[in-house]
Amino acid sequence: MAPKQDPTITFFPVGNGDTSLIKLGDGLTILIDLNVTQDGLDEDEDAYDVRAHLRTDVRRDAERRPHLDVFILTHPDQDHVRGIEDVFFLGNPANYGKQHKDKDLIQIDELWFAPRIFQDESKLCDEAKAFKKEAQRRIDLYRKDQNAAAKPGNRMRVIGASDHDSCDDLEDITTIAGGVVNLFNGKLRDDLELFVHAPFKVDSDGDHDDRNKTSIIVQARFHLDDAPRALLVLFGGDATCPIWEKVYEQSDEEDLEWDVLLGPHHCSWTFFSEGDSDDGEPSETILALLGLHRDGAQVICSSKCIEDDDDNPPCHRAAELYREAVGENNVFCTMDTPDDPIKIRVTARGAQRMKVDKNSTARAAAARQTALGSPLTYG
Amino acid sequence: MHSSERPAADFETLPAAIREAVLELAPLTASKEPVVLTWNDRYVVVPIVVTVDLPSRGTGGIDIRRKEPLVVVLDLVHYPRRAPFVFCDRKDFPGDELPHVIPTTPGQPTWLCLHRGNIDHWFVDRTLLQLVERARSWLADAAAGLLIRGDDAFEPTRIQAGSQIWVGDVGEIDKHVREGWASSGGAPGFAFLFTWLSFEPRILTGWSGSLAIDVQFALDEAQDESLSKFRDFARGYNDARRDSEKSPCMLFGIMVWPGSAPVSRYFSRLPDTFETLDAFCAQLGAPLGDALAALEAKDLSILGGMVPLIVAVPRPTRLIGRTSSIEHLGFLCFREGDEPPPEKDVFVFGHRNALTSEFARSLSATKGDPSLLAKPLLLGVGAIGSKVSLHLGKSGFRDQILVDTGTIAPHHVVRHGLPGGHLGKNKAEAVATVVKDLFAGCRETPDVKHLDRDALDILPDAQLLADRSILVDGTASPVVLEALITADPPPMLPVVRIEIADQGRLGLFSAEGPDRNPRLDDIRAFLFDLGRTDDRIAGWLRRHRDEVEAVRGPVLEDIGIGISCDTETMRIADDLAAFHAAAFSRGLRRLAVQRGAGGRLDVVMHALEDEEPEVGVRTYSIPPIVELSVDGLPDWRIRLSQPVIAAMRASMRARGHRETGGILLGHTASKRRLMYVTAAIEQLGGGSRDHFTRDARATGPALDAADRTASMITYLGDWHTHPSSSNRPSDIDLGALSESARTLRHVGLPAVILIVGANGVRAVGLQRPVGRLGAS
Repeated sequence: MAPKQDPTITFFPVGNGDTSLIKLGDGLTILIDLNVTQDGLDEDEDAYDVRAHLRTDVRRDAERRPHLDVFILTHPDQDHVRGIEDVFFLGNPANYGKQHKDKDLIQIDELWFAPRIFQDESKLCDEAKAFKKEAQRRIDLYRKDQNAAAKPGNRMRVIGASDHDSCDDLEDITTIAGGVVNLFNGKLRDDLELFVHAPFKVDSDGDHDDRNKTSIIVQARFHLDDAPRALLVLFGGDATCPIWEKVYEQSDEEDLEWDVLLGPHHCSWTFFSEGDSDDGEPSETILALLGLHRDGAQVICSSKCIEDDDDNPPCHRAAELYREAVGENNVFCTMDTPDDPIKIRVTARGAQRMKVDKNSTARAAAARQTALGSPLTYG
Repeated sequence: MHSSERPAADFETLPAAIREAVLELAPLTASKEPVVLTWNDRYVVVPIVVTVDLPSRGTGGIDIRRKEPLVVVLDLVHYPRRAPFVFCDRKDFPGDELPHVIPTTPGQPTWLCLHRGNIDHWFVDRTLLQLVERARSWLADAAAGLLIRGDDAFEPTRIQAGSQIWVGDVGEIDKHVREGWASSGGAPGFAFLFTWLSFEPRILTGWSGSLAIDVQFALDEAQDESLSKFRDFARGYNDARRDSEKSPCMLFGIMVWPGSAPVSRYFSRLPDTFETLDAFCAQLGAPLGDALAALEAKDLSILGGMVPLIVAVPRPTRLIGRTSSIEHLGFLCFREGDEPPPEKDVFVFGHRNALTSEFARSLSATKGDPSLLAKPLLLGVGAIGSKVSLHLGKSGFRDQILVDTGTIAPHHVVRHGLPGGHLGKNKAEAVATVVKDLFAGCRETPDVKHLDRDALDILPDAQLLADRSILVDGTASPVVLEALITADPPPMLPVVRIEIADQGRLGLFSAEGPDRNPRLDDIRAFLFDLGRTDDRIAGWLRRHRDEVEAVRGPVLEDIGIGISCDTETMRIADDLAAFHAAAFSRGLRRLAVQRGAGGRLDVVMHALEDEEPEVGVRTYSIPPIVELSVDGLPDWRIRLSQPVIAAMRASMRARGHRETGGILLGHTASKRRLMYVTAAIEQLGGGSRDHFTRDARATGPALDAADRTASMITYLGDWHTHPSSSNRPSDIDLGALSESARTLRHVGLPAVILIVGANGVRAVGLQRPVGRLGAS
């Protein structure tokens, strides 16, 4: 058995988008959202190679096929699901064949999603549609053969309640707002649990087309042997101010305490207010929520570099409010270091920044593999 | 800062490698410019500043800062072959509160321990910046309280290798300390140590250093009689050696220990004066003063005020690399006397474990319960046996009895396990002497014995055998083999035979099963049968047959497997013999850990130089054997394995009410009147409710395969089933048997059949044909 490592969270520099990887001490991996651009589809050819990084961080089975333990899609906006078919294998794991292995596609052992993805077919991007198709496959299998559905590659969890018929008979694998999950890819954990804050059923089933309203919001609680709640991290996708206000009103303080906050919607003003970013006032409730940070807390803005301009996201004023809450030196933007993800180690004394080991043999091998994977023309 | 007092070094006069390192580190200095200072004649240093990522909720009170100054210490002569050291530059750095530091003397900077193993080896593949990053990570781990993980063993105090070593059995010392705690409710205590002080410590320690202390045993204060006796003896001994300055002398030391509550504190500084030693012990709660006073009171300070001291410190968990949680720190103190040393009166001693059998077994990664190998009896210590004996001896299995009547001739040296210098000696005696010498510095009673006796005389010695845990036959002698098989009573201890065959291409390790079932002869039959499917075995059997026929003409002869490497005519390299001997030694160790319900055959393969390279080991489990008497042949027995019987029974069940059968393949040992059935080949078809007709054409492929064994595996007879009746032979059966016997009488072989009925398997045989009986 490999020695235990420190649990880590890696926030990738993916521009205005989210890609956050949790890796626990025994190597279990949880990816929250994905925003991977493709060479040729995106002019930003210098993008950090998230795909290669993931390939080195996930475990491999006896046949060297890579596996991600859990993928959580907070909501199906493109900047949270981009590249999913290029990085991951979607489909019946029994059909994972040589062509998938040659591309080193990663199998997702367990898929988490909010029920809203089944209600907006026409407005979904292609990647979201592919995700939804995969979610549907797993649901269909679950309804037909629960034993098969309990196997890696077929597992899933629905986050949030819904009366939509797409979610019928899924109660046993649904966690609603207010619930706690510590079952990841078939294993009960004592080192991580997620407290689900949202989505609320009213929003999941509401007649609106704002996907941000149905974003999954969780408080991730990391426990160490001698330090329960060693680190508390809030992930909220693109959830907007009214949702967060509702969350605040319905939650106990301890369920909203945080050491690390992934700034919702890429450091957008929409977290602070529904009003204009130039002259609107931030919600007092949101400011109070920000005030629930623990000593030394940090805010991670998974966004482009934050400039004092009109962009939103990221919003300069939002960043300023974050700085006021946690201190000038505790707000970080992922694209400030486009070649280095922000990697945090979970310790009994809070979050500690770590360097990504670029010199590891595994990373070098993955980089070579990526280089080989792209055709190059010489003349 | 420690570095602020150091003068600048002249960059231009530094070796090229050092200049390069200074430039590489320049971006990390405070000024971002190249800086290099003189540390002493041997080292220069580069002061740098690293940024340490601190945990968000603080460092738990440990004063580690976001910007930490370090010094990188470069060896002027040996860099980059020697890795740089990294010190903390701050004089107020809290090194005393942290693990993974290398102890230094007071006033020296904190020295970071960046690698548990040899850091020079680590640095071979690393850059200077990677070393700095390692130091930075050290600081980050220190800030997060992660230098030692929860599941880690406790890191013992790193004592820099020096010329002073103490040797002792820490197990015995631990036991004394624990007994002290047990009897006092965990209170501090002390004991006296009886030691040898050696001025030529090479034999004890492997060092050509200045001093070594060999701790023999501990005695309590209350043991007045023993203390007096040893004191008087030691005084007398020391007086007698007074003219010989280099001989070791005896002296008493002390061991002190605090209460049994674990001490988590790390020691970044160890005392080097009596004053600091006293304070060190006082802080721990170890009664140094009481122990010294008692030493004086008992008049045990017999050698010029020199007092060896061990401080036994209880730690929270077992120590890294050890099974104990008690750490032992060794010192030598000079109180008063006629040889005061210059400058210091306390020396820190490093420690070496005394080499004992148990330690040797631990160093040899001996797994499981080694009792099977604890008392081996080795018959034959020629080329193979000698090497195996040495392997076992070095692994701590010293209670060996070695048996050989041969002496070492000049040509033996080419392949024998011993080097030159033993010509003319009895092989067993020579090897025993060398095995004893392995533990020359050990105080254990040498156990290895040799017997200049014939192996055949040993086997009937029940008393000798009863004392042994395993018999290893390395004689390669067919006579010994025969004796092992036919001895009456048989030796009832695990038997293993090791031999090489086919000019060294094959090594054969045959381990009998529990209660000697299967037996060596069963394993040989199995080996021959392997030739039906294994090209290597088939090749060997064919080559052997060709060689025998070339010399003596075609004969039916039992094959002699073993090569005696002792003959001048044998051509096999020492390394090939060593290869097989090593595999046999591994086989014995595996047997000690994984002894199954049956026997085992390891076939070790090594191609010769001019052949396709192939090296490997195949292991076969040999199931227990059932021995059947043969109706009609009272002298003969048939031996066959359970799976063979089970296969015949399964065929009977599968055919329902129809009879079935086939041919028996195996090996015949005529002299022993034994047939070894290795396979019962079923013929397809030929059976009805009342009859089975054996037609060899239907079993042709099986017989072809038997040809591959150079006739070592042959057709033995037939078998068939009586699904609806007992296994008693019918008249038809006896008639068929008679036909076979008529054919075989010309070669003096009996005809046998096996009949499988509802009530079991019966063997029936006939040596000469008799008149045909009536139909059944």
